[in-house]
Amino acid sequence: MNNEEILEKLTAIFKDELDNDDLILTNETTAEDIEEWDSLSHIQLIVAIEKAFKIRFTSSEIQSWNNVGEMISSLESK
Amino acid sequence: MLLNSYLFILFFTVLFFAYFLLGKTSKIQNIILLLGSYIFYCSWSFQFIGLVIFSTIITYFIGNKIKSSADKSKRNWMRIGVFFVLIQLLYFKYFNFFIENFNDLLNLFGMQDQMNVLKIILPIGISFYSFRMIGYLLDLRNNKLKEIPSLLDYAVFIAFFPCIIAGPIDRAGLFLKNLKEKRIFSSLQFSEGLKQILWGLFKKLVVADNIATITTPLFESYHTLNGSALFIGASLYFIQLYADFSGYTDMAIGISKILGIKIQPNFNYPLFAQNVADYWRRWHISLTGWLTEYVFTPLSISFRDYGKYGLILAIIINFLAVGFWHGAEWHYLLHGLVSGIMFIPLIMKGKMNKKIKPSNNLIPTMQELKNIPVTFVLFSLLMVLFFVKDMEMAFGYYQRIFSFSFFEFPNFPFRREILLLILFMIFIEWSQRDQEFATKYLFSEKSIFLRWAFYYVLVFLIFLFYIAPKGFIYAQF
Repeated sequence: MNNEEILEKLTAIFKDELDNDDLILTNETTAEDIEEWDSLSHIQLIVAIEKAFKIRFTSSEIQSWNNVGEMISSLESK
Repeated sequence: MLLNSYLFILFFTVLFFAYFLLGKTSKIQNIILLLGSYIFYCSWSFQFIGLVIFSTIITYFIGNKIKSSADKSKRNWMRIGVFFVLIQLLYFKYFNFFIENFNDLLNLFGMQDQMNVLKIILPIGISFYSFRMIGYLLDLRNNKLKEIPSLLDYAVFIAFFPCIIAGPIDRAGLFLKNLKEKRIFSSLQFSEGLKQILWGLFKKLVVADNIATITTPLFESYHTLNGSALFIGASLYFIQLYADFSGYTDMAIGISKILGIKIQPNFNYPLFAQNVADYWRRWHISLTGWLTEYVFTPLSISFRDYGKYGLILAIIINFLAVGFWHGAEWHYLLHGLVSGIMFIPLIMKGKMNKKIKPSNNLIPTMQELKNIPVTFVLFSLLMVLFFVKDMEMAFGYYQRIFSFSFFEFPNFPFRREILLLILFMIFIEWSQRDQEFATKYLFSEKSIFLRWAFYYVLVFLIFLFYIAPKGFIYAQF
């Protein structure tokens, strides 16, 4: 899967979990840009992403992300 | 040196001119800020300035180690750093709590050998600057802070005088950005800062200190009062604590603005919160934000396989930490535990992150009319666990509120003019609740006379209702 395909799949997960059909994800998107993305929905997102991609992140990976692009880098390394 | 004292005005005036006239470069300005901050700290507690400087230097070098190490030793250095900060906090703030409870336990088993309680003086601001240090170390560990600041800038971040006594607990990355460039005097920032200080002074000196003239005697004689008087007392204390702490914060942020330094907000009109989660997004934001980042998030990541129950556990541990942060007393811990438990209905209903869209009309919506008073009553009742001296008082206080005497006429004299002052503050804040602080744009589109008349009224009320210099509630933590 390349970066764009991952981004597309992530966008669908984000829309579903955050209940917002209008959101647009880019590599630079951060939690600041999306109102519904807070500390709680963050956990729901991680659980949903791990399920969809059938992978498991480590705690330190999750805590080092500053934007969606860094999240995708972790995904690609799996 | 209180922020609302003549001595502070003198101190700040000298610092202000030195900062803008002599501060030709950002470095000189930061040196002036650091010297000023250390002088300010010495005025509070001369004996502990050495500790602040020592901890600053040690955590700075541990930070450098975290940054330059490989992944595994990064974590070890972070642990050493956090341990170094926590051990001081535990010693100064919690040592006697453990000894007293250990002695109680020995007593329970009939043992007479008691350990002595030490006479420990709490270094002022330790809870606030310790959390800044820990946040800095964790941000380096998690790669949230991309570059190491100079030792000078880091020392300013730790000891910055408007915020060292009672916060806000700023985050390293955001604060340090302020120090990079030379700050140029801006009349716009200056007037905005003054407006915020004026509103902070009003909330502290007029509203909070005058409510204290009711709540202090009321709490002292609580065992003679009926349930309705005690309930009003708890609600008044909620407003007093808000006015005191947010008043202080407005002054701290206003002073920083004058110096061209942006500080993170600490309050977002918590009296108008519409549910438990909404309240905690609006109250003491810098502390709850800190704990969300460094306690709640890591815990909820670890517990993520347990669904809602994992969230509940994470949130309860998080709020126990909030309680414990306030002090080593059982009633603070219980306050934290109950705060955590209050989230359970929201989590079970899955409404935790459904943010409520507030209106900004003067007339409240039906939803606001229903939710705001319920939330206010709930947190007024919770406040009892905050202001009591011990668990015995908490128990007695609640017992009286939840008795038939709640339906009697309050047997305590409440001064009517204080109610008017509270209503005045609440009305102004309600009308401006979509702004950063209440007086930012108040009457800004109206004539200059109206605007200045309003400022004059505030100054007049401050002189009229000023009682005596009185410390800030949160300076004790």
